[in-house]
Amino acid sequence: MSYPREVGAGPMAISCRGVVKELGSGETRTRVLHGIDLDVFAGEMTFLVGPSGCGKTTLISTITGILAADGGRVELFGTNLSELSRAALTRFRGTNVGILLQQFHLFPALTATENVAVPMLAQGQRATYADSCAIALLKGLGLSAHSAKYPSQLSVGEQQRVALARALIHEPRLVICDEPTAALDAASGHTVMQLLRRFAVGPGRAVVVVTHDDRILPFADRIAHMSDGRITRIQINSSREAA
Amino acid sequence: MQLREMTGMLSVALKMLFGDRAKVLGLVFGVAFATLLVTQQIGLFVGLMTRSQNIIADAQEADIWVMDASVEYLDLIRPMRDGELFRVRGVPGVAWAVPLFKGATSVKTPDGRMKSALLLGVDDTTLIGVTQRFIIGSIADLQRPDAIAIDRVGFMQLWPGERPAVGKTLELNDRRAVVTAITDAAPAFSAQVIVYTRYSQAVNYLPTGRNQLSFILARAAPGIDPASVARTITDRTGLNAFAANEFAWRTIRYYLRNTGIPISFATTILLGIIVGGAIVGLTFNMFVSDSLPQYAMLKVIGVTDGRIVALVLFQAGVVGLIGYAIGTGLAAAFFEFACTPTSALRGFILPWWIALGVAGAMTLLIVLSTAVSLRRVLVVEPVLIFGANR
Repeated sequence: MSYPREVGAGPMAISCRGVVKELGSGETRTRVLHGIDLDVFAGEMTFLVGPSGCGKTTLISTITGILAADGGRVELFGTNLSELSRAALTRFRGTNVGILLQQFHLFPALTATENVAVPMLAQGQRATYADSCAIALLKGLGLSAHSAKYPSQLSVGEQQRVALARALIHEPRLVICDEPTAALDAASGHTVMQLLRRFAVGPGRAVVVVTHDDRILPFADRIAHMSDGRITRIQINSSREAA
Repeated sequence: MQLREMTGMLSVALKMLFGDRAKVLGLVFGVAFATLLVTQQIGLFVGLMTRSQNIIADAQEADIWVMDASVEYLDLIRPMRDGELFRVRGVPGVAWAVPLFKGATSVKTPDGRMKSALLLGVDDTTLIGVTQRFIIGSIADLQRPDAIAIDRVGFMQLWPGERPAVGKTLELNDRRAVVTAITDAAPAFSAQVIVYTRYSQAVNYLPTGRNQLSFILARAAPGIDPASVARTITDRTGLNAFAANEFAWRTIRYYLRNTGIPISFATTILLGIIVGGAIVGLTFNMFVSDSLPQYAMLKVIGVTDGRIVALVLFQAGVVGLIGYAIGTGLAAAFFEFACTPTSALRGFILPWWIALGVAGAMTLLIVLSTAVSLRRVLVVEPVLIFGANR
C-alpha cells in the first residue's frame, strides 16, 4: 500500500504496520484486523470508511491503545504503544488523544462545564483552572449559554458539541472520532465537522474520523477504505471542503 | 499523583455518586442499619454484662472479695460461718475485712405493690459496701432503726408517679423497713429494687440458718497487691478470695459461658452485619454496574486503573461515612433517650470503644462489599463505550 504525501502537512501522527487483532476466545475467536498498514499525518483529517463490521472501530481502539494489537506495530507520534505499561499507556492516551464517540458518553451527573473539564482533572489540573478552560472552550463552540446545564437538559447536537469540547480541552495531538455525526441532522453534523477542523487540525495535530456518513466525506483530507479487516484503498480528497 | 492533584477527580467521583440518589439512599441505609443494629446490640450486651458485676463496682472501698470455696461468681452464694471473718482479718496483708450479706427477696408496699429485691447487708459499724451515690439522705441514715436505703428506680417502681422521698415504709419478709435514704445504685442483673441495710438487720429480714455470711469484703494493706493478698487468704483459710477486678471478670465470664445471652446478642449482631452487608453489597454492585460505561469513559480519558480504584473506594467511603454517622447517631440517641437514669435501661451506655470497633467492622464490611464491584471496574474494557460496529 502506498501513501501519497502530497496532502500531508506535517510529520507522521499514526503509523500502523502489519497490525493484527483478534476478538473473542476459543472457537469463536475471530481475526478482525488482517495486517493493517496505515499512516496518518499531522495537519490532516483522515477518514476511515467501510461497511459495518469491517473493523473500523477495532482499528481505532487499537490505535488508541484501548485494545492491544495481537501482532504488528502501532506508533503514535513516534511512541511504540506496545512498549508502554498499561498505566503508562492510559496516561499517554490521556495526554495525547481526545476521543469523540457516537453516543457521546457524557457524565450525566456533571454539568457541561464539568464534563468538559474532566480530561484536565484527570491530568491533575486544578478544578478552577480546568473549569475556566472548559468555559472558554464551550464559549468558542457556541455553548456559553449551556455551560451550567446537565446533559439531559441539552439537545443532541449540543451534547455532541460538549463531547467535542471534552475531546479537545486538553489540546490532544490526536483526536479520534467514532461516528461523530451519526446521531445528528445534516446541519448539526456539518457544524461538528467544521468545529473539528477548526479546533483539532493543525501543525502537529491530526484527526481520525470513523464514519458511515457520506454527507461529511467532503471534510476529509484523506480517506482510508476498509473491508474485511483490511485497508483496501487510500484516497486523497482533492475536493476537500474548506473549514 | 498527590492527593491535592486528585481533588478534582474526587469531586467528579462525588458527583457521579450523588447523581444516583436512589442508590446513595440505599447504600447509606444499609450502612446506617448495620451500624445502628450492631452498635445498639453490643451496647446493650456490654451494659447487661456490666450489670452482672455492678455490686462489686459499687463497693469501691473493698479491693478483695472473699467467699466460700465453692463459690465462683457473684450470684452463687454459699453462706460462710461468721468466724471466717476473723480468720480473714488475721491474714497478713489484710488492712481490714467486713461482712456482706447478699440475698434475693421481695418487698411490698403498704398498699400491696410487690417487687423483687436484692438485699445487701453491710457492716453495722463501718457501713462499707454501700454505694457512694446517694440522692436523698446519706449513708449515716442507715444507722436509724429499721433503716433501709433503696435505689431511685426501685422507689419509682414501688410508688409510681411519686417523687423519691424518705419516710416510706416497706414490708420485707413480713418485717417493717423504713426508707431513710434514696441511692443511685448501679442496677442489678435481675432484681427490680436494690435494698441496702445493716448486716444485723439483713440477717433478720432473710434468715439463712446457721451460716449467714455471704461475702467478706477486705482491703489490702497499703502498698500490697490485692491479688497477692487474695492468694494468701486462699492459702491460709481455704476460702476463695479474688481481687475485686478479677472477681468482676469471673462473674462476667460465668454469664458469657453459662447463659444464652452471648449467642442471642451475637445472632442479632451477625444478622445486622449480614443484612446490612447484603444491602450495601448489592446496591453498590448495582451502582457500579450502572456506572461501568462512565468508568470505561474515564479510562478512555486517561484515568489509570489505580486512580479508578481510588475513586470507587472514595465513593464507597463517603456513603460508608454518612451511613456510619447516621447509624451511630441513632444508636447514641437510643442510649441517650431510652437509657435515662430512671428507666429500666439505666446504666446502659455507648462507650467510645464500641463506636470505634463498629467503625472498624463497617470499614471491613464496605471494603468487602466493594471488592466484588471493584473487580468489575478493573476488568471493564474501555472499548465497551465504542459503537457496536467494529
